[in-house]
Amino acid sequence: MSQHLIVLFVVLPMLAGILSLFAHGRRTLQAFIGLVFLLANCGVAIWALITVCQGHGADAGILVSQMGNWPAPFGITIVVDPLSALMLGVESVVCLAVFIYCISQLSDRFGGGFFQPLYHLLMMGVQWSFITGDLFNLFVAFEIMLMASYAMFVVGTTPQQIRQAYKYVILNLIGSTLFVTCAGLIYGQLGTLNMADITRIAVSGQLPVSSIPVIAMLLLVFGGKTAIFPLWYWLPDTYHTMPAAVGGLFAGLLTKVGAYVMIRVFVMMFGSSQEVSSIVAPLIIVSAIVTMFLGVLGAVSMHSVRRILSIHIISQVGYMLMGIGLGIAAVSGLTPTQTLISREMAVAGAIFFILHNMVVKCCLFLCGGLMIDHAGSDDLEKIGGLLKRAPWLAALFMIAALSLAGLPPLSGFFGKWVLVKESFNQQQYSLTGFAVATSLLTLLSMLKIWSYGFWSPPQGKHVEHPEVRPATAGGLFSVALLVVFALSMGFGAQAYMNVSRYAAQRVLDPRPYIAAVLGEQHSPPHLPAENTVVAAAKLNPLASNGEVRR
Amino acid sequence: MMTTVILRVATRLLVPLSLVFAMFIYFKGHQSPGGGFVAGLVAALAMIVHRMSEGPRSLTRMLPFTERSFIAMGLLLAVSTGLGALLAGLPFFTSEHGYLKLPTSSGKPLDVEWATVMVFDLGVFFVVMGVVVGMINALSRELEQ
Amino acid sequence: MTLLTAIMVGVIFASSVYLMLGRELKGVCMGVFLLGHGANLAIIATSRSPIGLQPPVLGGHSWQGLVDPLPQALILTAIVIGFAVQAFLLTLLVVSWRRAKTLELNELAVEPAH
Repeated sequence: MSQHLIVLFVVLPMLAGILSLFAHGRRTLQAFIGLVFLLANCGVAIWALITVCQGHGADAGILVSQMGNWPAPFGITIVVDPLSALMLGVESVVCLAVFIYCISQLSDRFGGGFFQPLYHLLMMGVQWSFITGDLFNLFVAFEIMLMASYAMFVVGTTPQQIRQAYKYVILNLIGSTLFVTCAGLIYGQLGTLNMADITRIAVSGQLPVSSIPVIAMLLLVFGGKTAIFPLWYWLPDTYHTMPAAVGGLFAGLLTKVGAYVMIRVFVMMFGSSQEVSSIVAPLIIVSAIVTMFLGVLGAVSMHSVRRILSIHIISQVGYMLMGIGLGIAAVSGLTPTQTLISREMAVAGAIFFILHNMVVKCCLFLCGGLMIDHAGSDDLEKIGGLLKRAPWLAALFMIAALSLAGLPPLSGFFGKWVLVKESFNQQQYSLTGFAVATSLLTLLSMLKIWSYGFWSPPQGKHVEHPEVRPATAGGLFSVALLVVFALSMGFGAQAYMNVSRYAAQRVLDPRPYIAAVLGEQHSPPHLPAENTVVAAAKLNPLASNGEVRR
Repeated sequence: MMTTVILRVATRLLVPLSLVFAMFIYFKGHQSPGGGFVAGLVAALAMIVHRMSEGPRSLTRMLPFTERSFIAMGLLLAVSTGLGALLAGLPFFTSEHGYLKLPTSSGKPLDVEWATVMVFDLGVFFVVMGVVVGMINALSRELEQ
Repeated sequence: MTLLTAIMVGVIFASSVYLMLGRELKGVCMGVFLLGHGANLAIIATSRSPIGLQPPVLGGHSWQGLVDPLPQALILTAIVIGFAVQAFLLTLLVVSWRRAKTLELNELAVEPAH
């Protein structure tokens, strides 16, 4: 019964949006409504995570609610499995932090008007895409998320930004149209849009041959949303024109939703289908290499904090793709059991990396915003000496930047380490090499921001620093919240990795998911027996709850 | 703003008629084509015709709230029907329906079906009306300047 | 019927791509709208040929002779979303016309940033 509460992930942000629409024009009231609902949302997320982690017995740790009590393949299903619960847990904290940053900015753009209703609706779209159980609702959730993001992008812009807005809006619209076409065609081929039902068809090997091109076309759709190699063109040109709070929110959430959906679709739904994986996996792996390496080269060549960070989003997406690709690629030279463990670890690494990246990327964007507040610009050739002006900001930035680059005790290291190790195990040596090289170049570009922005004295062409010290206490607090969260992911990496691995298990072996959504009798009996070899006993997902609570 | 006599006289007739027609579509829509969405569009069209003939000020006077409040209220209505089911321990949006026996003059009671979906549909009606009127209002204000 | 729909979808997609390749924003936006209509038509085609079938409305019909209602529900949702998107894009066009007095993508580009 209590599992019906998972709908709160959609209802709470929606209510918050409605109420702050009523409170239009009253800044304090809007901020208060937002804070209350975001805290409640965090609470629900923690409850869902704990419930999901406790339940690896009978109900398999999967919470299902059928909207309107319509049975599964016919109605709308929402599902929280370990993967969704992890994403929701981290996402709710990131949203809270960015919200605190927004209301601390005291600018008319962020408070009082339509910004905060849009903020909640964006969050609703994001959370809906995490919990939805069918492809068409995924499209609707994407559209809500994107509509809110278009509007947040455009509110209060300059003409220059409007031009970038056209690029962002139109390219995303083309992607959405392609998505809805694909969804329609998949319905035509398979007669269902329910994810569990499609998974059931794929697992029992009944995918019609004609549906495979359509499924491969989904790669184009989600690739565009995630900004992978040939489809990234919209991202570097748009993100740096946004204000830091919006950029942080988009960087932390939007592309990660795409990566999450790629795991859901290509690993869980079609991962067991040889025909699909043999087309999709090589594309994903090649794209991963090019995405991460070209992305980081772009970042090294840039000279503005926000531009460097935006292009870094692309480079980091490469690592997520790497995990997804390793999770479904054909493997040679390993026993079936080893293959399974290796795939599981690779997907767990990708999940961990997505979580880490949500937090750290958002944190760095907010740091960039605070740098602009302090120095008046984010052009690295014009600013400098921030170490003296804003020592706390410098310290927090350093931790987040090193975490992104992946230095050992920090969170970025563990995700990358697992991914690199598994690519080595699966003998994808080019992937290993490029991942390591990318990591080094990431460190280089982060050190560039550090040394130009914080360490060195102001340059020759520098802009006049504002005399009045900006009031950035709220901003620093939200950055600190994210940094503490990132640190907990570094020092408590074992716990987070265990939960990620549990989530990866549930994704790679979708039978519990199918049974939970469609009912026991639909669980396909003949999955390869070795899929169950990796026992859940040695994992203790509950160990992490103390960390997540933060 | 077009203020020919013909349009103004026609408007006086058309607007109430369209609103009644919107009500009709709304109540008919539970089992047959129609419903809150279409009813909202029809009602919004009535408002737009009124705006065309009488001008934007008159439309603002006619509406009891701003378009924004219409949208927010409609969303709130729609969400609260779902929450009702949640409070009863059922999945979100589970709907309930039954028959209401109304007495008639002939003595044979008239069966009228009711459903909680109606409240949701009313929410949709408000949202659609608010969105369409708000959109056209905003765009034409922009162009009239 | 299905063939006819398929050809229509092809024609609509082709014209929308032609429009989107232009340099003028009005045309690009029209192309995007058209693309949405093409997608809707493609979805309706997945409910197979409706010839000889009844509309999926309750009352009087057997369950056998009905058109599959789900694609129509999907399209209704897609149309509503498309409606919102079109309104947004039109507003964006009006705003950029007021700000920059041009709708050419290249001329918007040379507008200096504030």
